[in-house]
Amino acid sequence: MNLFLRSGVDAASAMWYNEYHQLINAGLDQSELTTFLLSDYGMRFPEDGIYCLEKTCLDAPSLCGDFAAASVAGWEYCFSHPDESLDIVMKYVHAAKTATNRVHQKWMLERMKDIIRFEGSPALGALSVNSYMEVASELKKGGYIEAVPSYHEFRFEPHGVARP
Amino acid sequence: MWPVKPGYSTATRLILSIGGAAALIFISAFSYNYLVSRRTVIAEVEERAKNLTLSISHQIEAVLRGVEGVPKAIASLMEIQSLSREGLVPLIEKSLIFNPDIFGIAIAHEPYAISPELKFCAPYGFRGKDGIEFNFLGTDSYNYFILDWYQISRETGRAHWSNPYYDEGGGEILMATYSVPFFSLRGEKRHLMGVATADISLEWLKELLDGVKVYRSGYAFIISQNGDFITHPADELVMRESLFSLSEALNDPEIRLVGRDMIRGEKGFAEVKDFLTGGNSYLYYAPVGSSGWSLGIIFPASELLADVVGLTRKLAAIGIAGLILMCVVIVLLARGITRPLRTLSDSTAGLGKGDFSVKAPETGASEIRHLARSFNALGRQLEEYIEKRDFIRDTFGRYVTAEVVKRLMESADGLALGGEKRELTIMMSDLRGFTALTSQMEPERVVLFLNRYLSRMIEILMDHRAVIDEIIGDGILAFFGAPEPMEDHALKAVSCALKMQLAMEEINTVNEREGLGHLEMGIAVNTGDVVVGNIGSERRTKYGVVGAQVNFTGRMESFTVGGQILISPSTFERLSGVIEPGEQLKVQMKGVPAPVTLYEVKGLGEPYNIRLARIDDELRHLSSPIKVNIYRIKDKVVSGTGESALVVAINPKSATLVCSGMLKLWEDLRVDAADEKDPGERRSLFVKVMAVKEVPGEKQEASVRFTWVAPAFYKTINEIMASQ
Repeated sequence: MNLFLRSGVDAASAMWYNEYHQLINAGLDQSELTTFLLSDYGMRFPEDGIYCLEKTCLDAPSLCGDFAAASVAGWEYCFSHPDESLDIVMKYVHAAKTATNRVHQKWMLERMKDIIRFEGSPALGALSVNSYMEVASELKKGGYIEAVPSYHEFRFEPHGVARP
Repeated sequence: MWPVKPGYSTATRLILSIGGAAALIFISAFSYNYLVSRRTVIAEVEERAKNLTLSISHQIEAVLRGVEGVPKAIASLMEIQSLSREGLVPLIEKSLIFNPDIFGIAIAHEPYAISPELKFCAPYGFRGKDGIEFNFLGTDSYNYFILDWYQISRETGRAHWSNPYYDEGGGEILMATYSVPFFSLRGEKRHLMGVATADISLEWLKELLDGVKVYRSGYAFIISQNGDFITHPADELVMRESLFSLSEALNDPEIRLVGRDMIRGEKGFAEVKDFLTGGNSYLYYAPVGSSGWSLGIIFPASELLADVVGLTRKLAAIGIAGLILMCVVIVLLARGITRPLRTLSDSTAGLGKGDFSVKAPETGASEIRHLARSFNALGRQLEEYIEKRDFIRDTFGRYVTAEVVKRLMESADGLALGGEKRELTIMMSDLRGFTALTSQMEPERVVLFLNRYLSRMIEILMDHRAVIDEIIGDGILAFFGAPEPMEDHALKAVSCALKMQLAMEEINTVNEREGLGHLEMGIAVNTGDVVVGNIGSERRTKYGVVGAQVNFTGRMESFTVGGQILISPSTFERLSGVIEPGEQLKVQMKGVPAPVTLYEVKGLGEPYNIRLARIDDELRHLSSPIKVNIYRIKDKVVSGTGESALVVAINPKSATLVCSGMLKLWEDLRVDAADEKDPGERRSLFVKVMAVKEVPGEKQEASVRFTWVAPAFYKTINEIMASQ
């Protein structure tokens, strides 16, 4: 982002919930930035996921399932307790002397909530078949992967039942 | 000024008006002073801030320039001479030795720029624990090509200072890196060869800025190109917050505007809220050399203006004390002015209660003295006036008309009524037989009777501007022609007498209806010189008349019979032609040598037209004379034994008696009917002998005038008069 700020480049890819706000907090006004949101160009990809080795998954399926469930519960808790969440984050920020601040972390939390919990969003932690197939086919089209694994191959179901 | 309610005291009015005006002037002057002082102080501070900022900025710039020179020199060298990977190390080492401010130097090359086999070529020398140590940067995990210190200079082709950062070792040391690109010339085109860098610790920067003391709590700070705090007295802001994040956190857009100005390298002076305390502050800012950083100095407004505020407070205290003092002075002054007014007011109350001797002190302001003097004069005048009024009232009040009293009060010498000799007309009247009539009446009835008579008489006298000298019982002494001169006093007196006689008829009508008996009044009027004046002592004074003419009038009055008015020759003289005379009486008076002629008045002709009722007074000769006993009266006392006599002729005023012949002219007699049966209703007459002549048979025939007729006798006379 410094390169972009120093005019080293004219365009930069940035996360809405992170770098975009860094630019704003480096003194650029929203009106000075032209944004191209990927979602506006058919690239509405679910981004983050929890991945593990197949072996781990087979060896301790309930552990993996609980881990995923705990992650989801953690997010839910953060969204309903934003101040407490920020307090915790900032505690680690201070300890690690990370170059960030509460305002930015707040932005991130709020934007994450916007991204994950919009109107009509799927249940937290759920991955719809359609979304998966959409991403997989784009990746294959772009030559990033050679073949598309099936949804069931990709997604581990600790209880053996796929949710729609 | 604002309207002052009319009910307030003088002091309140003065305080509200003068105090208000003074306060207004004071507040205006005070506000003006404050604003001007404030403006001056702020202007001075701006100047001071500017100088301070520039001075610090120059100090920092001097250090940075020195540091910048090293990678610049290396870059130049790299462009002139190509050095091997190993040859770079001594260069770095020497440079570090000669430039103790620099922590580390790197000469990083573009991929494969040194040799086709060598992707990374970036020797880095730095000050380790044991002196200068070397390290070759660039591994698959440390790809320096995409790091800011390399990439920004690579992409922009310009030297630049990095954003400050904490050193890689996780230490507490804040660092910054200056990067200079170097190029090789291939034909016309410059190709980037690499980037030379120098790292410096920014700890000195913190120390430098911490040493800047601005008043008590003012301070200096530096922000980076991104607005991040590089130094700030509050450590928690450094490298965490930027002016923009603070603006968002504090919801203060002003800070963002200032921040944008600062990162653009502008200079300026702005009023902001302090980032930590939120207090009003002034911020001066200026760029720091070529670093792209900006230096700001915060001046807390409260401290900046402390002197002004202190001075203003002192001025306010002086002003308020002054106003209070002024109010005190006003109150004292107002009291000084109003005290005599209050005394005056108390005195007025005294005056109202009739104490005219009260005096207001003639002190204080000239207007007040004047007022007091006027008041005292008023008191004196009132006293004199009351004295005069009382005198006149005591002297005349009851017996002269209000008009006369008023005129006397108004006249300057109203009180100087000494005795004087003056020609007046005197009138005397009394009721015939009043004493005899009333001797057997209840006292209340006597008073009722007398008051009815007197009030009517006094009313008539007043109407004729008479002065009533004396009222004794039923007798009245009055005079005309004083104290005010009266040309026609004789005429007035006669006219008055006629009216009085006429009024008797009304009184008698009422009296007879109430069974009070018939009364007749005789009036004598005489004109002559008398002494008139205030007679008496200090304690009791009477305006009255004395002199022989008064006594003379008294004698005249004793000759009158009921219903008659007799006037003296002197009065007659003055009224000849106007008067309608009746009989003339030649009488001998005690103390008067020659006989005197008295004139009976029947009325006044044109233009007065007052007449007494015509009374049938023709003597009736009685075929059977009435037998009577006569008693002589000497000095109002009935004496001797009764002698028989006969009434041979009679009318309502007189009778002819025949008796044995011992009566004398002017003798007073009581005549009782001899055939009296009921002593309670005695038929009596009081008479005066007017003429005596001898008749045959040793007898006398006497003409007598009635001076009083008993009601029973009156009835008899009326019967006789009616029958014949």
